[in-house]
Amino acid sequence: MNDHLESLLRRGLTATQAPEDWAADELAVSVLRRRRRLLRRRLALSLVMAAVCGSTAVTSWAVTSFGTPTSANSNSAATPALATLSPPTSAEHTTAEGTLVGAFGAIVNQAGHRPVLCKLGGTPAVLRNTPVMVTDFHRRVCSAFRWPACARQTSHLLMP
Amino acid sequence: MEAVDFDDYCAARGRALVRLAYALTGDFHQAEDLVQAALMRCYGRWSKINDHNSYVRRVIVRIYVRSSRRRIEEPMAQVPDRVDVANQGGSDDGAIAYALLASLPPRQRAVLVLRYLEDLPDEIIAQQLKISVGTVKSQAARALGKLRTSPILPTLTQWESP
Repeated sequence: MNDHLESLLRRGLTATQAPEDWAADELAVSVLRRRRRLLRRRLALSLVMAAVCGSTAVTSWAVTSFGTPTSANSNSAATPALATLSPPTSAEHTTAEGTLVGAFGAIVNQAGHRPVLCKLGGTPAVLRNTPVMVTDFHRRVCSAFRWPACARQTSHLLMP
Repeated sequence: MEAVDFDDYCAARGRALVRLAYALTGDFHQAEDLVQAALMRCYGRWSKINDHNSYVRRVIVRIYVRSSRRRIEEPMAQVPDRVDVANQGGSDDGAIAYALLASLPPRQRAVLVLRYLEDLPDEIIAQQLKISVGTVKSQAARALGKLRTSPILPTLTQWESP
């Protein structure tokens, strides 16, 4: 029975042929055409994905750069950035750094604005502030440390 | 390694590939689609392939098994108890053989096709299907056992008897 079955399968499968009108010469052409179509589709998909990623990146950059809050209840915009605060070089300044940060934080919390931070020997970092606030910050923080970059007090007032 | 041109290979081996795919799928249009998909996949690395026949055959079988697993089963309006041999194209043996193969799951069908159509030993079938030799043997035995109890088989004995 098993031999019959196996011989039947062998005979039946080998007897089958492709239709006579089927053109084997066109197989390569149709394969290449289909491959080109697939590549075009993949390219289009990649371009769409790149456009989506690019627009997402530009949107996020615009939101963070121009300070447009994403939600009305967002408090993160009022948080000050301390990264540009350069540490004092002398031992005296090092001991007073805690006071500086504390005073700085107190100013921000009370006024709700971002003050201008002064870099040692460099251009003051630009942050949003009002002139009153800048002056107040310079008087209370920068003057206390006598930083060289703060000699030009007018630069603070010119900050936007 | 002998450089084989893609167009020449398709022209020379196209019919054999379609026959293999037809034995797997049981439908000529699906077979043609399967061969095209396999050749399309092979085209990108054509110059790096050593044995084109073996490679293309392996891709055809694997695509068939994988796609058959994913395919949603389509309900048939009526499942025939017996094969109407007169309505099948080709030889009577072919009609019965395809009717028998149609009742098997994809992997068992692939094992039988590679064994009886391509005449491959179990070791090569195992490589082609990426399974062990023991699995090939068990799948073949299970498939043949299932076919032996098929209701189509009385027709077979009737045809076999003089």
